[in-house]
Amino acid sequence: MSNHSLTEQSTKLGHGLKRAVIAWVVFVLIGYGCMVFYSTAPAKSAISVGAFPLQSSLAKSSGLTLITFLHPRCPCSRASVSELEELLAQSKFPSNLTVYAVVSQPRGCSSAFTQGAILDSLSSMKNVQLIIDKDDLESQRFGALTSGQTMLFGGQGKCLFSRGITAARGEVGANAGVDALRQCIASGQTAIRKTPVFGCSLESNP
Amino acid sequence: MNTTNSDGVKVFDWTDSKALVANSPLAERIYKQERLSVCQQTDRMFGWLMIAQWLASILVALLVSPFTWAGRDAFIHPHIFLVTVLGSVITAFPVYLAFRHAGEPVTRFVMAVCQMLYSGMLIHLTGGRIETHFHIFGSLAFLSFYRDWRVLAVASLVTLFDHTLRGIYIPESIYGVALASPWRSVEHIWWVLFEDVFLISAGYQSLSAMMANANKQAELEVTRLRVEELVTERTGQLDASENRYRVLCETAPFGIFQAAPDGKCIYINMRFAEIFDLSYEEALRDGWSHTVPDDQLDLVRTAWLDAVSGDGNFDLQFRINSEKPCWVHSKASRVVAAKDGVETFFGTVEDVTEQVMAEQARLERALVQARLASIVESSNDAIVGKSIHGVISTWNPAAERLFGWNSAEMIGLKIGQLLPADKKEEDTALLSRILSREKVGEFETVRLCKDGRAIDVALTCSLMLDEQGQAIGVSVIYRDISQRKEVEKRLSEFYSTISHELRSPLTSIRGALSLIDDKIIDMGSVECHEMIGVARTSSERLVRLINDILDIKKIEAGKLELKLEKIDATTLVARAVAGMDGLARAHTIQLIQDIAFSATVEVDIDRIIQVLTNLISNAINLVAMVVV
Repeated sequence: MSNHSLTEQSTKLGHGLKRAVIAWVVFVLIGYGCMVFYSTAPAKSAISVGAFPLQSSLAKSSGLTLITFLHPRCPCSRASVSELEELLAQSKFPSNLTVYAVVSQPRGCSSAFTQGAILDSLSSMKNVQLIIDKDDLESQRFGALTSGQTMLFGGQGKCLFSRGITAARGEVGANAGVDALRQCIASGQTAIRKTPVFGCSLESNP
Repeated sequence: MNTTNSDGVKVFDWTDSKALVANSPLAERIYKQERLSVCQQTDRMFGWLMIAQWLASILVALLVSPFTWAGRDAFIHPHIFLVTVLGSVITAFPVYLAFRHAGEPVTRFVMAVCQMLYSGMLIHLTGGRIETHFHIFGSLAFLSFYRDWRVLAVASLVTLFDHTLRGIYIPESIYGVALASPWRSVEHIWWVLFEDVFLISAGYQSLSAMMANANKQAELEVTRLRVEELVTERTGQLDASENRYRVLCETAPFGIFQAAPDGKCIYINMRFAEIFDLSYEEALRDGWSHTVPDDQLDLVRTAWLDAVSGDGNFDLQFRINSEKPCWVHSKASRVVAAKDGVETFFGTVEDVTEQVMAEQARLERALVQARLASIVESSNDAIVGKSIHGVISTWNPAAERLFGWNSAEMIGLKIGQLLPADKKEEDTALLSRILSREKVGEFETVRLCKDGRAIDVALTCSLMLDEQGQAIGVSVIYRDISQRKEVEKRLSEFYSTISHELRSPLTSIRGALSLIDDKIIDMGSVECHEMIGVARTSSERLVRLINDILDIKKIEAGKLELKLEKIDATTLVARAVAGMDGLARAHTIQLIQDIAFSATVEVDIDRIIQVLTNLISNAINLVAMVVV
């Protein structure tokens, strides 16, 4: 690929075209930035409940209790489900670990609202107890605000982990949240602090 | 380059053509045109790819994440806006360039940037899935269609920056993990560069092939142009040739025809019809044969069939028009059409009547000449032909016999060899008279023989003229007149003798009569009587002489009759002496008869006495001359 071959139509860029190219590059970069910004912008931070809420209808395990709150229609939460599934598949599943997948059924919505890919995926996962959270009572009790938020409670009911388990919106793959959760399951603690939650809001607009 | 072969025909030199087009400006132009075409096609392909990519992105976004939720409330997912707006921003400008500025370098560079950004966006939207990274490799493969290493370089740089920056600041966007080693970006970039190496290498090979193809196309183009030029030239030559052929056919002094193997003419020129004394339409096909007499037509048919079944060559001279004989000579050769193999015969017909007549005249002339030559050969007269410069060209056998030289010796030599020294001027004068067209009759002269003898000849000269009347030589007829000259000499001597013989008796008679008439002697005297006797004897002798002359004529005429009688020889002599006694006495000479033998002879007495008388007379004359 010789240089002289590139000059077959060496039309000089007109000023208009040059400006158009620059403008296009600028617009593209801005758009690209917006995309990255949105994708990496976490949803509302979860409220740490500190301990397993007593009023919860979920049975607290004497061992570890892992609860993932999911919006059944959230496209990004498919990644969370995938991460959860992979975590449970890869980790040496502790016998004292109880896993709940709490699927939101907002007030005023029928059970059909919960049907979809997420529910189907969760249904096929063993060792996961599927909970339909009618009127979002459980998510409110646990303070979960965003789909994909995952909490791990110790045998004493202490909240060991309450974060997201995906790297970004809808992105599947190794990430700090899963790593932190794995460490917590294994040792009850983790040095990884910041693992934002990416997903749709579990709260309906007022 | 068109060259000319040994036949003077222009031919195409392929080798030279190849040499001319290798990397020539024409090849460069074709190469650049091809490259431009490739870039334009790739631009348009990318244009459609961009549109399809953009629509596919929207479709996928609509299918995968049409909404984002807040509890029971659904909202259009920002990804929809993202792929629609950002996708359109990324796509619109390259698409515009692809269709409005196809082939321009800026278009493919924008394409490279766009495609790689699109790959980045897809990687981001799929959470850094490793599978989506293959979009980059696919995009690079597509971009390699441009065969421009700079496009791949730009694309690779975009990817490099994208991976590096996102790998550092938002690794989850590019690799799907919150924490990523910088080496991961290096690894990805290395794979990009790895592919670049192959794509660039392949691009170079493709360009080399393209250049080779351009050289071949240039070669073909040059070949085409030259073939076209050659075809144009050949067409021109063909037109010119056809015109020449047409003009030649129209103006040819001989007939031209093209005939089928059955002898029917499918083409004739006007001259052909004229020769057969027919109109053009009448002479066509087998119309010409109607003017050929039956006996000649059989010859023509036989010769034609021989040509058709044989070597294809027809050559015959035949007569046409029985009322007014006309001879034609026709030649034809078989021609097989290269296109369809159809056989026809092309030929000519020439009116050779004049030639035939001339040939007949020539043969007649040759016959005459042969006869003349025979006459010359068999002539008893020497016939010598010589040029106007005197060089001998003809020497017949009679000349050989006359002069002693044969023709081989004399032809080519000067006629002067025959001339005695004192005759050279005479010959020159004679030649001048001949050349001046003066009529010269028979001319007697002397010529030399091979043995040096001079012989008397009578020569007749005549001027030889060519057909234009120009003098080309002189023919000389030599007649040997030696014998005639000898006869003439002897005749002269004869007449001299005769006159002497006649004068002698007359002198005796006149002397006797003068003696008497001058009264020197007396009448009646013995002397007178004796003189009268002498006169009488002389007159008798004169009568005998005259009779002798007449006898000679009789001898010459074969009419002499001898009266043979037996007589004593002494008596015979006595008579002769007695007859001459007067003459002797007149010269005071005494005749004495002294015969010692006696014999009888049977002779014509008068003629023997005549012989003896002549002898005695001669003796008297000689003695008288001596005495005097």
